[in-house]
Amino acid sequence: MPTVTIRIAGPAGYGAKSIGLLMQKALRDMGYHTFGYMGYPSLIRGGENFYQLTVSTKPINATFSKFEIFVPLTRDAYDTYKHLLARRSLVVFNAESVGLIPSRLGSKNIGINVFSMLKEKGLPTITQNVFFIGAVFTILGLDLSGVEKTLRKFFASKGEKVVSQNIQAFKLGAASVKDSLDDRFDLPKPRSKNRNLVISGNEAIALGFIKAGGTFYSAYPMTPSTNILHFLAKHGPDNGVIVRQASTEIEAIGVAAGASFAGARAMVGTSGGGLDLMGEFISMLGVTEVPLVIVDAQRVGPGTGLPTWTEQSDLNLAKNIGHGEFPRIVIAPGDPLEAYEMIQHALNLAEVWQVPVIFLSDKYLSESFFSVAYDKLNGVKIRVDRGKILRKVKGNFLRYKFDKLGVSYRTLPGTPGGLHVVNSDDHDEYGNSIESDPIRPLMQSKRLIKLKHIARSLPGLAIYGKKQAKRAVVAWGSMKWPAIYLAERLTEQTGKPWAAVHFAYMYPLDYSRIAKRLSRFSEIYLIENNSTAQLKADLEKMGLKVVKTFLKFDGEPFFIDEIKLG
Amino acid sequence: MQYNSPITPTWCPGCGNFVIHASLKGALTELGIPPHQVVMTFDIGCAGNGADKILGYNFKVLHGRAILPAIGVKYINPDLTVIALIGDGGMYWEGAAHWIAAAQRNEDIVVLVSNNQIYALTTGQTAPTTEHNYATKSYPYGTPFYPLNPVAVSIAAGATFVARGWTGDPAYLKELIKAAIKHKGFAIVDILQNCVTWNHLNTLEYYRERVYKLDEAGHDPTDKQAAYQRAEEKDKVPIGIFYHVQAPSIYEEYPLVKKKAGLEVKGRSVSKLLAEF
Repeated sequence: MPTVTIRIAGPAGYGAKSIGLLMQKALRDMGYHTFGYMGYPSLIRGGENFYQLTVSTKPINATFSKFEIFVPLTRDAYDTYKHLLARRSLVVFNAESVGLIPSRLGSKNIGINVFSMLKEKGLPTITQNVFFIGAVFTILGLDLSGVEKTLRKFFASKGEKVVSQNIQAFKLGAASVKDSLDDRFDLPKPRSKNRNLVISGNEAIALGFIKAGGTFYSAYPMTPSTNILHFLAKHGPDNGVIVRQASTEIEAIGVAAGASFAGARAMVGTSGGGLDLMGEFISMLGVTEVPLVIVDAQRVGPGTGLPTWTEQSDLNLAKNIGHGEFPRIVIAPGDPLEAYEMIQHALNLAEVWQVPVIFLSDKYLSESFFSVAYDKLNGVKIRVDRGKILRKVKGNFLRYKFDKLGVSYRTLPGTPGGLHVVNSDDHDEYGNSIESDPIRPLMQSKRLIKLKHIARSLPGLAIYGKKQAKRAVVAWGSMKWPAIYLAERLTEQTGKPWAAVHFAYMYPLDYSRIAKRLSRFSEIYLIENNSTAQLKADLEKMGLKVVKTFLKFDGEPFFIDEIKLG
Repeated sequence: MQYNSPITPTWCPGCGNFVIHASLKGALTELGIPPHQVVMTFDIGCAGNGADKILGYNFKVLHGRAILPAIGVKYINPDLTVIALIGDGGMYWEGAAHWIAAAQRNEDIVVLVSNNQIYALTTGQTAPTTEHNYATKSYPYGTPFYPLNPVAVSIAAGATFVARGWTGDPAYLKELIKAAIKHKGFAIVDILQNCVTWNHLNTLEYYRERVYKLDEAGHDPTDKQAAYQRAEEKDKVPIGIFYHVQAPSIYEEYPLVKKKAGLEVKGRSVSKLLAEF
């Protein structure tokens, strides 16, 4: 598959992310498929932000360990990342800020006196970002006719002056390299005329929450979940979502529990450390049977870990958080399309089963920008299902009435005749507190019976690849696409078909059903973005043999080309 | 009485919580609020054990956290009367961050603090409000620090209604609770509550000799400086409303809350939003 990977890097405040995202949107508007991955180290020296963009004429949902085109915005940025340049590469830079770059075998350097050129036209230095977009696109020989429209849309909110300055800078950048066409890169004309969205996992979660009728969101800011708060805070007022920034994670979930009890469709968002703090309330949701969705955008732990980097290390936490024994559901989508769809499902599941649902994203999924076909996303249709809510009460109301599936009717405050205690103490069917009592084992069983029924009703796993494949790469959550690409490479290399198996519904698992579906695989490779292979125990319990385990826990995701085969 | 629960209370005979519940029921009844329009949240401890001893839409929470679901309820259905019942240990220590944040934001809830100046359900340890040198099970040689001042801290944090009640005067307490319920914004009533089992210092007799009523003493509850001075009094113990001002509660500035958008759960279109991507 022909691809080109571009990295733009510079210190925080230089706008590496915004040029990257703008470049991605411009390429998308031309009809390319794109994938954007970003990093923002929290270091002082050498702490260079980057945005890495992979472009293709075919759908692309991950990136590579090296890049062909490099736009370093400072000398430090160049020095920090030069070792990741692909063998055949191109460095485009401002000679006035980066200086001279030594020539390398297979690499071409194009230094431009950007500041002087901007000054001559009276353009502010910040427009060098768009200047570089003009330069890189021209070197790649792309059709620039549509870019002005993209720029116009991108800068529209900043006023006409900014729009026209950036369009000028773009043209200036294009003109500055008009004789430097580089035909070493294989980027054919795009064929797709389908509309693609450029969307991150966090945006997809927030959008799905709005779609599914979510009405209350509370959160304490914590990277990498914070963009959900930003998106909902911005769009909440027009879409009926009440957003409340809490003073602690404990407050966030406690207030949301009350909102849910009062009748809202509620969600909270955090990262691993915040999830730890929410543990006591999650246990309380278990015994009170108050529905709630808790988003954990994972980052590197333990402790503060690497707060701006990715890891899939909270699976065991999500499955076990909270004292005592109670049912919960854990879902880990593989990309923004799944995040959009599954968050809607999660909100239904929380209300239908009256349990906490922990929704696991991670830095990589939450803050990477995928191309998603508009029609696919727009085609997701999930009916809002609020489960058992009694709007009119006749006779005695028992909030925790014993039930075959474990789910009783609830009434919303304000409903005449529906008085009850939602009780963190264990309780009888009315909700009144009990001590050691024959009712306790019955009530505990009533709650736990849900797990069996939930496990049976969840969609299970997804298998990608040929039906006759006897070998599979297994992954969960955001490692979906790296697993699919690894299976493709293994198929190519070994001449035998490999499939990819992706788990998104992590808990509860219906072992016998899943084991049956996976029984055809005699050889299983497992890839996880953590250091202990948290899914492995489940696979082994199902009698599956994991031949090789690939783990990565340096804070970055698996890249397409990363695992060395053979 | 429509608020009476069939469940027998488990408090000690003579416990101040009986008085608090009686005053609360009286206040709600006199204000004409039916039980299904009331949400009461309960903390952990003797006060929290009242969760099923009074009828309403009740939510027994976790230690120190009772006011959090109360806040959440009000965002979704501001028509409801929302009252949190909590002890001094829960409010002033375990949940102190929530207390400060709720007062700062003027969240529109009523908080009734059963302040018996001791941890009672856990059998007699020092509380944030225990008096200096008072010997408890956790400080058997005397509590080595001074009690927190809940009235002064509440005012400083931004509460717009701050009162102190006493279980030795149920009728007066009922009037304070009524005023707190009618107030729009964060209303806290710190209730000096006798604990017949674990606090042998701050008894009904102890307070009978010391209390006086602020309204009878000509205190102006809109005067913040005067309120602080009254809150700092040591020998005499003022009860009544220390501080009471009108300030916009968060709900009045939030149109979605006003129109109860939180209850409008239905599938939405995102076509307009998709244009951003």
